[in-house]
Amino acid sequence: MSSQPPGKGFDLIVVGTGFSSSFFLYSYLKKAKKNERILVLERGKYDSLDWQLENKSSASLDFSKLFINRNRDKGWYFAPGYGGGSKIWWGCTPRMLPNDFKLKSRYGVGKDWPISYDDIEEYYCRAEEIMAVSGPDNTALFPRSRPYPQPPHLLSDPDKILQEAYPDRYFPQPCARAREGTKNRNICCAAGVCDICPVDAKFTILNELDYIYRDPRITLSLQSEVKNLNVNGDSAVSVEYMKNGVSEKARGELFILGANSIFNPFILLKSGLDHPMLGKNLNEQVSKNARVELDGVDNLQGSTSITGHGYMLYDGDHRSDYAACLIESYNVPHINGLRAEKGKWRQRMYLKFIFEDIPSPQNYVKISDENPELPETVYIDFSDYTRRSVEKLPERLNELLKPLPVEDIIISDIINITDGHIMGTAVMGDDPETSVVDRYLKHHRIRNLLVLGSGSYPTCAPANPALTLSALALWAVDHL
Amino acid sequence: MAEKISRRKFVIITLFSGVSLYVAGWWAFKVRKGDASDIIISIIRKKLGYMKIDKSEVKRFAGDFQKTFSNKQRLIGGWAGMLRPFYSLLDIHKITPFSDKFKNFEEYAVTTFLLSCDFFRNGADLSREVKYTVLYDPYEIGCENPFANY
Repeated sequence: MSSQPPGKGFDLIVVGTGFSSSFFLYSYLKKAKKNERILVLERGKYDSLDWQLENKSSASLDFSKLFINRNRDKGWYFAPGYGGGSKIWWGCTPRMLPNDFKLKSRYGVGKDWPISYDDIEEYYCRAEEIMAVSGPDNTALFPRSRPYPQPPHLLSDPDKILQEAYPDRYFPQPCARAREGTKNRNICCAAGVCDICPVDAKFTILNELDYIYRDPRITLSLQSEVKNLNVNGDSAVSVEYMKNGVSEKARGELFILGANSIFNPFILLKSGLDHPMLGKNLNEQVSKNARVELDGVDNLQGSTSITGHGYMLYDGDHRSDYAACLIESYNVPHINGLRAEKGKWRQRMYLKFIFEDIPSPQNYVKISDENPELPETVYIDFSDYTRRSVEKLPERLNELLKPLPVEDIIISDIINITDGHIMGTAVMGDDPETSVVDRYLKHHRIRNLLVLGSGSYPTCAPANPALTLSALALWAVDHL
Repeated sequence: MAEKISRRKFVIITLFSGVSLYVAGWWAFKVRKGDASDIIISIIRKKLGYMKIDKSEVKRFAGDFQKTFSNKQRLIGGWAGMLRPFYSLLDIHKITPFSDKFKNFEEYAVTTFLLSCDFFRNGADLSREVKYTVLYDPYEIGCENPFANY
């Protein structure tokens, strides 16, 4: 085993190069000393956009071989390698709503977060600035202290009908798919393959934050798989990792885990930092799709891949009984599908319904018994709270879509296998007995260790998690 | 002395043998080779029969389109092609166990063809002859969405 020579430890060691690590570093570097030594360990390679397009794959490392999942009905999807989830996300950046942070006290279900919407509003704004988010003007549902950096995308004609019917609850989706070009990104042209954007229009770590990894204070080590942290008393002292088949060790003062919500708890478990909640509450939203056949209204005129965002089924007293649901309206001909009937080719909406779930400890990440070098996901089911909402969808949808000239509504029987969001496995809270990290994402016991990412989420709002976890990384830096 | 075969039995055996030979032949020459072009051509001609499309254009499209298929799509397309003689007359796939899968396959073929030809670029003019241009692949050609405004 090779080690850092004595006296050559790092001030900061960061694991991962996805959203949370990169947003953390973005803010941290502004405050760090000029001679600070930072080591960033990334398990995968640098897979450029050209490589991704050529191979029609977001990562050269096969994510499915990195963990064991015995539940064929429930997938977990992520992109290993430099840039992490930013390579495959669709750039959807809704904020969570104020009530999402207080589900227990407001509706009597789930848990409250230890922080409020107001606590992180400023950090939402900063994250949106970094991503150059395009968004609507009417945001009473999620009050803003400043406008979105970019103007909203254009809605399609059926979207406009719904916006007129629900002016405060249906509007252009806030997103990091550029409405206006930036120095590093082109304008979105609704190609509809946002997992690997062919025109480089969505925000990624590769196009907008790559420069931070060239900072002379940072040593970026690719293909470095972190195995565990070494702890002495209540402090982390070093990290062990494999690089080119050789076991390495690096000493540090401050440690940041910015892998995803399968690998963060796995590293902590391998480090012997057991906690009753560590790895528990593995969850993500539950979603299904519907096609709405229209009579006489063409679709697909919008300026981006997902145009409308509907909050009509999201917040309200019903959340005491069944889950909130967020609606996305797609504007992509090959996803919406074109109709064959003469003149009706574009008269169809394709909607996605995204339901929150109440996390349960029956779903979790553990060290695999079969191969202790791999994490294993155990997922039994989502909650009855969510199932009730899914079951009510047909009835609610008939009512909801009355403003549109609807010929037929075809709701898929299938629950989507995954939404590519992994949450809940290193939960935040004020009580060290019931949570792994505190409100600033610091480990309750190991105070020089932060566990970033959506693993800290106490509940799972319908909103996509990337913006919130990026904002939380910025928030964590300000509370070091 | 061998028992004389009844007329009814003879018809059943002949029919069964014929169907078995047809299925085996189809498997050997189409499904095994992943050839789904027959059914793709039939789908386009049936569903978009109101358009002016030369058969050669559809054939070129079918050839390119099936090259992109996953194994599952090849299997669906290959087997569905076996029912092609009846397909143009009735929705025979509705009574098969894979009707939903085939309906999706039909939609996929129609959508891809419409996005791969010049129909929308020529203003959806039904009086003009439709030409297959290039197989729609948004990863290859970024801003090919013919309807988006940006």
